[in-house]
Amino acid sequence: MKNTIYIKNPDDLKLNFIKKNEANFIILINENIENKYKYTLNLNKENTSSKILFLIITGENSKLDFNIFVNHFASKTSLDLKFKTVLFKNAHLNFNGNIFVEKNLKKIKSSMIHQNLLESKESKIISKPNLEINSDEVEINHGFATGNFNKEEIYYLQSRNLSKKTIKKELTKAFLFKELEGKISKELKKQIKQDIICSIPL
Amino acid sequence: MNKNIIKKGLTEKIIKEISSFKEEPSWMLEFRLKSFEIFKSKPMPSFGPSLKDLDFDSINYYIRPQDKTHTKWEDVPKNIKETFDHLGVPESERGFLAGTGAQFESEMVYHSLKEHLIDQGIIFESIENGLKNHEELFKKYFGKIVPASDNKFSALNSAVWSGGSFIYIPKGIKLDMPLQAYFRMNSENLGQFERTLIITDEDSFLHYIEGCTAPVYTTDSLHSAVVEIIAHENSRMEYTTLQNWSKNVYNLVTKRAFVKKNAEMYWLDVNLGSKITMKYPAIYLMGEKAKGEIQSLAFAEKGQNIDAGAKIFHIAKKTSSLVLSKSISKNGGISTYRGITKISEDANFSKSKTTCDALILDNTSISNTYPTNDIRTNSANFEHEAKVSRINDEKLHYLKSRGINEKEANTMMINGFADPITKKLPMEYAVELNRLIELYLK
Amino acid sequence: MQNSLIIKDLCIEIEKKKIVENFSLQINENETHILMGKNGSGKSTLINAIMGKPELKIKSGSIKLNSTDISKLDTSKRANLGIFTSFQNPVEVPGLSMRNFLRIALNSKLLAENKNAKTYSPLEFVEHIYKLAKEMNLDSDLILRELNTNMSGGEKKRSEILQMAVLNPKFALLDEIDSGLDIDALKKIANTIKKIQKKNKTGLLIITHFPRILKYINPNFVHIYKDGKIIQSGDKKLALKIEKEGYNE
Repeated sequence: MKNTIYIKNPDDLKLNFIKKNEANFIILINENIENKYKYTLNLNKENTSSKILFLIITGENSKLDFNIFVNHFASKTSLDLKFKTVLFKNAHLNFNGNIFVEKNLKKIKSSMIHQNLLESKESKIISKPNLEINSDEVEINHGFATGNFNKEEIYYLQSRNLSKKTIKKELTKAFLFKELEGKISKELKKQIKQDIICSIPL
Repeated sequence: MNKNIIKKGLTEKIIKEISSFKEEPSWMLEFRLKSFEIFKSKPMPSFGPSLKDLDFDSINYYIRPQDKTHTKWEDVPKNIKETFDHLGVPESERGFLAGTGAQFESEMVYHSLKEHLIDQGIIFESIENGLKNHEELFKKYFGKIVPASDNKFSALNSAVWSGGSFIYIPKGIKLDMPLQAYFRMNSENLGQFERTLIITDEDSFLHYIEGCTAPVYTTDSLHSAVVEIIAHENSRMEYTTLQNWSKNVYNLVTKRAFVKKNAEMYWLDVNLGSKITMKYPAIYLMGEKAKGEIQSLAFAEKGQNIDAGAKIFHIAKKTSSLVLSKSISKNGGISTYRGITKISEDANFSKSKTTCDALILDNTSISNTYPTNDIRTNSANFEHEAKVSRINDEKLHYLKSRGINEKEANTMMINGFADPITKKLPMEYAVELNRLIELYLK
Repeated sequence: MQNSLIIKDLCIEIEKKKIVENFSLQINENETHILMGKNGSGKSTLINAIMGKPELKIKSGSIKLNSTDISKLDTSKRANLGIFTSFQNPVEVPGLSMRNFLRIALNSKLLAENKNAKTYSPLEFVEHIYKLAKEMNLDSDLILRELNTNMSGGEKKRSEILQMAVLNPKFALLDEIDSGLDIDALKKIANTIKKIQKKNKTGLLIITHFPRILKYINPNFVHIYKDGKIIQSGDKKLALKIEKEGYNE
């Protein structure tokens, strides 16, 4: 089972992937402040791959600025990034991402998927996910979706006596927890789930 | 005026000449002069391909039709002639497209069409005649959708515009056949600084087609056009562009549409040729339930840099938009998608989906994607996906296992890739486009 | 002269791992061979190697169609010589219409056989394919679709057989044509395969790990495949034995 490394609120991360069996990462951001985050992910050696899951939960008066750079400098590298964000109240997320693939590389896979839930009318997202691809043997995928909590789900849970506040809590948990299915240890899963629950500003 | 001196560079004097030759009202001259000031003060765009080789002082900004010299057929580049052959362009049109000045019989086609339109109250004139004959309507919208100050090239166009179409579709009139710029082809239409203004009044429908798949050969290196469209309540406007400029042209275009309540705007753009293209059709969804769609297909080849995209602004609630951008780069070509989708706080319950699909055919070519997604309301549904890859080996192998050779299989895959967009073109264009794709892949 | 596909001592490696080892088989025209073996034993690899899939390295051995060694030929050339493959999981190619695709495939074959052959125009081909579908008892609904796009497993198998009917192959390698089909669908497809064989004297190699298809197609030979080669050959009775007893002997 691949090793999973869990990091909370790193401001600055520079990861150089060089080993064949690199770890996967789960990064939790739950600060309610104005902050800038810079992540540089370099794939410098052939046959390296990794998966990184970003869980972002933030609320009142939060202004988070993310700058993420993915650089493929070697062939046969693959990076799978997934961002799941829940913005509460007037939280504001600014996202700048860049996937760069150098010339003359072969067998590159890179994906960056964002799923964002905006809880309130005041929540805002501005994102600029860029792709700069200079080789042809690539499979590059980028996805970005925003929305609100599913009305049908809210209605259903309300009909089961749950308050709106509880519903939003539960739906947020469901939205984020489902990314934790899979190959991580029970203890780590428990820890992350607890951290998520504490982060929900409701 | 000395006919033998062809003036290069842009001065106030030349602008005054243009305006006086066209017999324009004084407010238009003022507008041109003001725009010229703006052009001089504006910087070059801070993004996109480098325009450093564009020399404003070496361009002819206006040549009177009688002064225009024509290229000799022998001087028309071989690849242009080959494309004419491949597409089966009729002899009578080749000279015209290649700028050799052969007369084109479109005048007759245009005249009989014109009567049919006038009966319905439709206005389809050159932009100059639009100003002359319908000044009030013209003044109401001209420069209001794309102001001169928008960017350096819209300012330039506003100063020296010449040629283009002015179209007005009255309330309730749904035109069942597309209007084509082709019908009014004259040397000014292929001019560098076309300006088009289209107004669809309430409940009307128009499909307008400009350009053609045949390559347009011109020694003019700058094509900087402006297209302004306003779609009033409940109207539907489709604007199809097929451009295939020769490989020396800088194609820098500003196209924008304002869409009112319940109205629909649809841009369909096929970009071939040119040395550098910068084109970002824009739609402002200003009224409730307004709809916008931008579909584009771009081919970038050696020495080309195609920087195109889509700009969508959701201003009112319950608006919806769809963007489909497909691009292919080969042989060192650079293809870039540059777009913005903005959903404002008031655009509640809006929906938007953008799909960018890029194909890179070899390892010297480049594909870039620069989207900006600005979402300021939580009741909107927004989705954006981008894919970059080369032709799928497995699919290629499958076609080959059916006896189709590699070249042919590649062509089929690319046709399949472009299909969602080409199938929206009128038949003749789609057929021509397929032939062009064959040539492109040679 | 009879057509024959002769595979001799074929050794295939994928990333230095031996998948097929000393595999030999001769298929003559009009013959029906069934190749049975456990899941994952490399049967599909064998078919893909005969068809010339780029990643498969032929370490040694030969594949001959009549007297022509095809092991170095491009896939499309092998297809032009008359070999057809029905894939287990046919890829989808959205945007490519079945009609257009099949017409070009057929025209390519005709031109490969004779440079001056008369090829089909789009209109002529449409006529031709509807006629053919009727003759072969094939549903013509797939003709209007895009190649394998949004098709169920069963529809994809029918698409493969439709292609086979159009291309009139000398030899057809069918990889698990029976999987995912209900009895009625299987019966129908088996009938069409028999019709195609009768028309073209096609030599068939049918890969399956489930002998259900034998109810509808009578094989001349049944081969058991294990560890990269044929370990036992027999007739229909052998297959029925496997059905009862499984592969572990």
